[in-house]
Amino acid sequence: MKHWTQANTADFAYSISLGFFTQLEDRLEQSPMKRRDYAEKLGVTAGRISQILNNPPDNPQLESLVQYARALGMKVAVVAYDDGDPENDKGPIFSEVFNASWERIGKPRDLISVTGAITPHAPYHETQQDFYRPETIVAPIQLPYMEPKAPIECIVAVAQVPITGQTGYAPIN
Amino acid sequence: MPILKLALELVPLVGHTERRVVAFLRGHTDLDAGSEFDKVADTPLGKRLRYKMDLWIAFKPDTKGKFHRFKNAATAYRECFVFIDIEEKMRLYGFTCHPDKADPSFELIVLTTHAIKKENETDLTELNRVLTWMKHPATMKAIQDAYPAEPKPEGK
Repeated sequence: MKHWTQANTADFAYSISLGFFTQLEDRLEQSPMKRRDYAEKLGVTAGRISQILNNPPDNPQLESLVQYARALGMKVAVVAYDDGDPENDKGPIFSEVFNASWERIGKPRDLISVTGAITPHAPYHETQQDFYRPETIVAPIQLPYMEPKAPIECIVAVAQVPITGQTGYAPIN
Repeated sequence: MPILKLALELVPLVGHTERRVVAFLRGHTDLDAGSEFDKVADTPLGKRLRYKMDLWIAFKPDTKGKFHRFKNAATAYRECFVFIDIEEKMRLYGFTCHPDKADPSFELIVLTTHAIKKENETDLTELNRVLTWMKHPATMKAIQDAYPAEPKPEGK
């Protein structure tokens, strides 16, 4: 065994819970909201909040996680990922890493903002390459909105036009 | 007088990387961070401590109530470090260093001692304990043994 979360799924789940409540604690620390107010929103005592943050539950219910996050104005995503470590020798990737990555690329709400292409239409290698190149990510967001008059395939092509420094976007024939 | 021999041991089952590593310094009864951790290693407390070590290894900045350096303390204590568990009031103290001459960005935390305390205020007694071990020749030898200097290429 190389990492403590390898032993069983319960330990892996515990590390997810620890990561989740670490995120909430950080948020609470940065927020003007006091622990007392947070506790009031959740209908528990401030002492209970401290207890949960210092010693998170080992297997919290998904609905509870949503309640804790929503009371801080946050949302929750459950993300499955492949980090090339199928035996989990290296341990999990922290939820903060996913959140920081998402924030860094401008908090996109859809896939086209991230990949620059509508995923089902784009070949796999095209959606994966240059995933983190800023121009690939920003360009589709900066394009002026135009009422689509062409078939959807053309819109895909607009998003894939390489950015070479000029403003606007290339016409499609 | 017998020569004190100390050794570094990577904290088991933590996600060490090529950039950051956490280790226990062992070989003397006062060096109790490792032995105290061993007692709780398989409990929720041990898992929470390992989780915090993983967080530091993943470059999470110092976090109140989890782990931190002593940036606001006197210069002498700036390399001291602590992992904290508020629930069980446990502290694992140590110091940070950059032992790999070939890669100065590589960072190692050497955990030396442990304490049970409730107060948040910095306890200089604990930090002085860390400094004593940090400066001890046997500690330096243990670090050098674990991270030997790169042999010079032949002919230079």
